[in-house]
Amino acid sequence: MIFDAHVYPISVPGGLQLATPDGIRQLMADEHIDRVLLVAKDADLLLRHIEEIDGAYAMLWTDPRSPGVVDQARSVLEHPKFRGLKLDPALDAFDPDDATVHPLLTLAAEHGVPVSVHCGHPPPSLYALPWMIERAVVRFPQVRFVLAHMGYCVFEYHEGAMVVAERRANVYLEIGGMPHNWRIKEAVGRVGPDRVLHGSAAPWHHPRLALRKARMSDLAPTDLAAVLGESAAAIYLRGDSAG
Amino acid sequence: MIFDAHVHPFPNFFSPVKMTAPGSELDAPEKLEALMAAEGIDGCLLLARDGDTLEHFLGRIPGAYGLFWTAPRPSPGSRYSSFVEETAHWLEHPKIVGIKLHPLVDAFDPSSRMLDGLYALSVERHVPILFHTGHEFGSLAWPIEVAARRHPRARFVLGHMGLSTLEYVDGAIEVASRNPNLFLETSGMPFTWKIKQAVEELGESRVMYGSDAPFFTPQLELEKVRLAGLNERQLARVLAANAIDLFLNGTPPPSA
Repeated sequence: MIFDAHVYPISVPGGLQLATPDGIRQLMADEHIDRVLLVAKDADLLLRHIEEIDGAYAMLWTDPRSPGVVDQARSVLEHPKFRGLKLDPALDAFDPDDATVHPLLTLAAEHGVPVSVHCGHPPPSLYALPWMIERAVVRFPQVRFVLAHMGYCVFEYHEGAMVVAERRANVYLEIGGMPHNWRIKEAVGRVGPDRVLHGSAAPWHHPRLALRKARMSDLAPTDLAAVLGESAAAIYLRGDSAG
Repeated sequence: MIFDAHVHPFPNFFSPVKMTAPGSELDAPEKLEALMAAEGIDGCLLLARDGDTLEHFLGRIPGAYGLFWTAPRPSPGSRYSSFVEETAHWLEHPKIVGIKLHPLVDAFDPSSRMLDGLYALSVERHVPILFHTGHEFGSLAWPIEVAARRHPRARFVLGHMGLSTLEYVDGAIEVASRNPNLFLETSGMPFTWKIKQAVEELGESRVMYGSDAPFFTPQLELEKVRLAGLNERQLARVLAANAIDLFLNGTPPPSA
């Protein structure tokens, strides 16, 4: 089972066209992806997609400074296919442990849903570094934090993401956009296969390349199965496929 | 044919953080030969500061060529009077076909006048210079452009073509589009669709494949280029012909 825990319902010029349900269904068929977790700020768009696509779930991208965002998040989390919140401290420019973020993290704790946090450069931002995110991780131990990209494309940030995950049991590592196949095996060895999950960050990154990277990581078959799908299902779906 | 324009023949060199897969370091010619055979690589450019070791690799591997990695700073105890003189010495080697500059790790601004002597040397010897790009501030396309415009006969390759930051990738394409003496190299840049955009905007002759092995995995770097949506001719040019034209004056490596 392949669960891509990081897909944007958008298109990129000359690249993948994922702005429509048909585009996402085509991608899932082409790459043999069973489930996707769609990420967007537009809750209505997410709703349309998850109601039209079998195997699609949603994660609302929340900017903590956006008026009414907590109420909006509370509302969408009532839907069985909305399975988490996304934060991007780099693009939205906030400290992940700022007081404005705490109501969203409290909400995530109340609903028992994970919070995926963009982790690593790019774009350049100290707020997206694993050590900055760790402050919120410590303040909200009941929230499961997914470090999306696990540091992205910087060696030092990969190491930081793994160090944070090693010392905080409520931290998970998502490999989207992180370019090194061998790092996946290292992460599994350091925090266990159930805390490392596949995501492609499509369409920015090509899912076929992301899957190839995971399959080239020299994991044992059971660990690979966990990383490619079972870990994300356990984290986001908690054994409930919600249709 | 595959020609990899960006390979590091030595293990970690500037960080205590692990940057390569265990056992993947290319610290002996046999390891590089094994990699080339496994991935079907016909030729490559090795980037190294140590001219002696570079010479050793080049003597052992027919398809390997070198870029001498230098930096604008005094070298106490060196047998050369300046970094330019040292570079000039190594460029006498028939298989050292260019220069590598890394403004990030060597901490300099590529637009600085202190590099003019080196840029003039590159013109005199007709060898390109490959820059690391993708990091603030010196390793961005824009300060490199300043030098490229001051030295229009020099040929500069933007290694990583901006790396993993979309704005820097766009900057590399933008800068190359207005300066015909700039070329792009794909290693570590993760976006397949940006390769296609670069080829469409710059033409099929100014984008070249590189892996940055052993820091990046050649198998994945090759797959990335193949997923870019290029036609057959464009793909052949990116995977080999463009680097061969630029660095080897069109003469393919002997193993090809």
